[in-house]
Amino acid sequence: MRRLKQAWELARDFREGVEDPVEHAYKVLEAISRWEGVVNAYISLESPDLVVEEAERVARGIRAGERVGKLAGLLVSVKDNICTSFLPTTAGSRMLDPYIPPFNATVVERLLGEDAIIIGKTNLDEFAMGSTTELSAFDPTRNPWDPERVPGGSSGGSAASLAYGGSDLSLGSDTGGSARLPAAYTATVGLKPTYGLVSRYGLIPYGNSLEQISPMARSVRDVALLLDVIGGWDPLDATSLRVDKPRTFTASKADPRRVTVCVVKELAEGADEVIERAYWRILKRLESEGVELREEELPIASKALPAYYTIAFAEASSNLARYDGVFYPMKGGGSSWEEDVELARMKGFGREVKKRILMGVYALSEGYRDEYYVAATKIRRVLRDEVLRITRNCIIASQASPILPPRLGERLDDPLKLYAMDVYTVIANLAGVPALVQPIEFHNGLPVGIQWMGKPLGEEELVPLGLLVEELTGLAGVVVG
Amino acid sequence: MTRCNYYELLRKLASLAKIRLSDEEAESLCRDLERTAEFLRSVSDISKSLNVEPLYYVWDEWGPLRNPGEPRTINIADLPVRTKDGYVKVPWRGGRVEEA
Amino acid sequence: MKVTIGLEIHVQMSEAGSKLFCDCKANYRGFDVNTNVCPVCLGLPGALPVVSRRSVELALATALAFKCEIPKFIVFTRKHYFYPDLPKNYQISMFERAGGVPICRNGVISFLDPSTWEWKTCRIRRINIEEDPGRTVYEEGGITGSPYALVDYNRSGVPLLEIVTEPDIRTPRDARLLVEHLLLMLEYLGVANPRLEGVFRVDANISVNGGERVEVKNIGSTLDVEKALNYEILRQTKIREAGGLIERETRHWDAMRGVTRPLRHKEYEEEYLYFPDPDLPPIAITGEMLEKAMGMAAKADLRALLEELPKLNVSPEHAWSLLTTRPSLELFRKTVSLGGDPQLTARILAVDYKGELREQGKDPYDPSNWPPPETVLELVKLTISGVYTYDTIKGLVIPALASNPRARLETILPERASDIDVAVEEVLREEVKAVRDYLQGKTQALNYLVGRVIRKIGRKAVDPRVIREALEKRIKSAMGAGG
Repeated sequence: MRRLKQAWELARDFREGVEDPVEHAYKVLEAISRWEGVVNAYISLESPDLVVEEAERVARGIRAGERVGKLAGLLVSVKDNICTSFLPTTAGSRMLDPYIPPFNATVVERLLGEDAIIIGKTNLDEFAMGSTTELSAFDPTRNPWDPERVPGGSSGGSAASLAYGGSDLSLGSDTGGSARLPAAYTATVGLKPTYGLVSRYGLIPYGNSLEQISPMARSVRDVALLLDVIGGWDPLDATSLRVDKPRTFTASKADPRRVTVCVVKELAEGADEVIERAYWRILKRLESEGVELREEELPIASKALPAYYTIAFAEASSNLARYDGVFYPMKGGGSSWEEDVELARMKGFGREVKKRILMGVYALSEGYRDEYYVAATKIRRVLRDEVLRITRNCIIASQASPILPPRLGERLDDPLKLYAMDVYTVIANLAGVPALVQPIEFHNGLPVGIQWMGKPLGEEELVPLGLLVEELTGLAGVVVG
Repeated sequence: MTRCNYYELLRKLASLAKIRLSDEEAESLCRDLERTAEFLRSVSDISKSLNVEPLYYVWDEWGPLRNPGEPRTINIADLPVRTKDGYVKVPWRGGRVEEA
Repeated sequence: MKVTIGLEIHVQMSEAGSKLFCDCKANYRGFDVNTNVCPVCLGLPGALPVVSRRSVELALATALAFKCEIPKFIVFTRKHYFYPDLPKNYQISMFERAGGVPICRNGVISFLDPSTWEWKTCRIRRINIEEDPGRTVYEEGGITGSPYALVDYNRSGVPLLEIVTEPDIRTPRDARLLVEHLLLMLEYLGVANPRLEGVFRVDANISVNGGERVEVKNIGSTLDVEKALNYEILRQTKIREAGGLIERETRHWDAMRGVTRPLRHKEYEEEYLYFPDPDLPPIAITGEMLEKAMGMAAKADLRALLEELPKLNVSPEHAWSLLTTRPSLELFRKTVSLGGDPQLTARILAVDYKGELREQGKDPYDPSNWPPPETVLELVKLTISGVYTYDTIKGLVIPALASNPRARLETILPERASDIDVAVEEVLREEVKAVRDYLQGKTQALNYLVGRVIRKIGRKAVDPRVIREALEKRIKSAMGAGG
């Protein structure tokens, strides 16, 4: 285990001429060539020559005294369900292999606007449907901390690229925990923003009332840096909140005496003993620094997981209806239209994706819609209202994962085992509130994380708390090796 | 081998979702579906006691209206489509007779 | 025989400027195939819909014009089915039973029967805003056999109003009149140009003598509305008379052959998997929006417009003619506001000028084919003053004006005959027999003489009455003088 300079420090050092963007680019490219064979974090990589060229351009601009963007010289990896017109965007699926979108996602435009260098597209569970990044059409991603284990999912490629130093910052996405679970498994930091804070224009949709593009990095301040760049109103996304760009990067570490943390019973219990002990250790530590701990209950949480999956499956079945081979690379090869569509979808989708589509159709069909879909949305309302009530006055301390990073294959023999990994994370998606996961400990070399949930637009409180915790754990900037 | 209870339903769902399934795939999916449907059904019991409206939009906030702007036209030939005389060409042979 | 008819009319908001969810053009006609497209209307992954303000304003004005209940907010739903011209394989519309909220509920349309001047009403069940799919063309073998389908997405995403009536209509003719009136209202609201090809389509439901309801789809013109329904009544009557039963079914109107044909029977019930579209939060209908829409709706109160005209002594026929040709109505009002006599102005515009445009094969709906109000005013004044006769105006001036509506009136007015006496003298000298006939009491001879004088004067403006008087006077004075 070592520590790398935080990305924001690197960017500052580039601007001040203390560090060389080109040298840095070579270091990262070298890490990639060393690790990718085993980890498989990336689906596609920008050509190394181009990356170096970009770094040289930044270096030249800085030397010439030009103003450069906030992310100038930093190498950012982007999950492959976020549209880039200059690299294929496959969503981890044969259906879109290779699909080159005719437009960039808004967040990508914003990255480029701050002179970020986009180094490649990271691996994911197909269409973001999964919790381990084992369900990609492009082979699993392995956890750099232990390659026999998964990095979490569905943004496992993003997390893994950070964990071995193959990127400085990363964009993932989070529908039910997809940016936070990988953060917990790789000792990185993942933030699912308040729903609507970050534009979804260009995010290949899976559960569109639940998901957000999520900044991921090796430290809390790095995540804040990224959030400030990508967040803020986008007229191209009708669900985007009409707010100014967030300003979390300059936040100070929280004053523990002014922080109240709620321990919500249902979100603290139910994890492996090792994890529960780590959780209480950090909470006690915070308490000793002056943080107030309060107890709360969220009984409806026991229904959150089935409610989440019902809604997610329903939305998935709808959002994936468009893949019929017409505009997309995977063609059916049928002679009649219906056959052509059916074959394209048979060949293009993996098993888990097919399953979720079929369940979604079931949940929305005439005889079952009330019993499944509408019922789930009612639970959602109750859950959201309760979470809003609790977070009005405190930040919720929750487990991130019920288990340590599992071995490859361990969670795949029973669908419910896979879904159960999300038990703590789906709450924030259902409620729309922001949630931050950061590392707190290692157990036998495996990362353990914790999750903080705030009120809507409460990123400006989560970041300071995250900075405080980071100071106590000393885990900012941690990489394998 | 006893057929999984959901088999008929599965076939119907696959037809609605326009996904062709081989028999083996259908068998294997069927069991998963059964488990999953059971798991999801738990939402229905509790929701009966909840006297609330469904929540479809997490903020209950009003959506924006778009003022006139420039079209972001793209060239359809940039997509992996088959074309003929500029039209997008798809196999047909009767497809579905009527538009819904 | 009791007939019950309900209609479902889809009208493109061709004048909305942009498509419903993106900035591609609402009026796609004239574009090369697949050139009016963008990521949103092609449903590319990651592209998102955002509702156009103008479409909602126009829809709201329409809802007010039909006296609907307006909701506090509208909600869009997804309707799923697979078809090549539907890029996302779902259509965004408004389905109430799944949480959708339409822009109008429980409205009413009043429409005129211009042959009896009777106003009839029909209740409107709802009005939805939705998006049009693209357009599919089939090759050899048509829709059942073509090996390929060819799709043009220029139309995909164009904003549509779906207007559904209650089954209050009693005759096919009333159905046609309703649709015509509805389209006229939409024209006045600035929603749609009814004369654009394919801008509307009608599905009709008909039940005869309380029997099963038959739906007829694919009616593309107002005349076909009446034809298709008449055909259905005939077809059903024949079946009944032969002892058969009418089944509930959906049929397709074949305009070329003038028949309805059954659609292929579906093996399963339609399952559209409706739910509210998560990408489109509800749109609030604010007080501001309502106020603006009310102003727009007032322009489409055809009944009020129509009733305003007879107060000015305009005949109902002329009023209707002006109303149904919108540029002429605008012109009428402007001319009258400048001081033109309403009755005469109406006649000149609604009958003479419009008739002349038709003669010359010009489009009466194109405002540039009509003269400016100042010109019309002059013309009206001229007619009243008697300086030119109505015949001259109608026969010479109006045709010239129709060919060149921007012309200044002086340049097209025929020359006045300044001196008819010379012509009168000449004619009386030449036409001795006619004069004698006239003196012998044959009054037609005078008409003949008038004609000779007019011919002699040539293409100059003459008032035949003046000539007649001049002739009579001259002949009398000649007689009096003993010759």
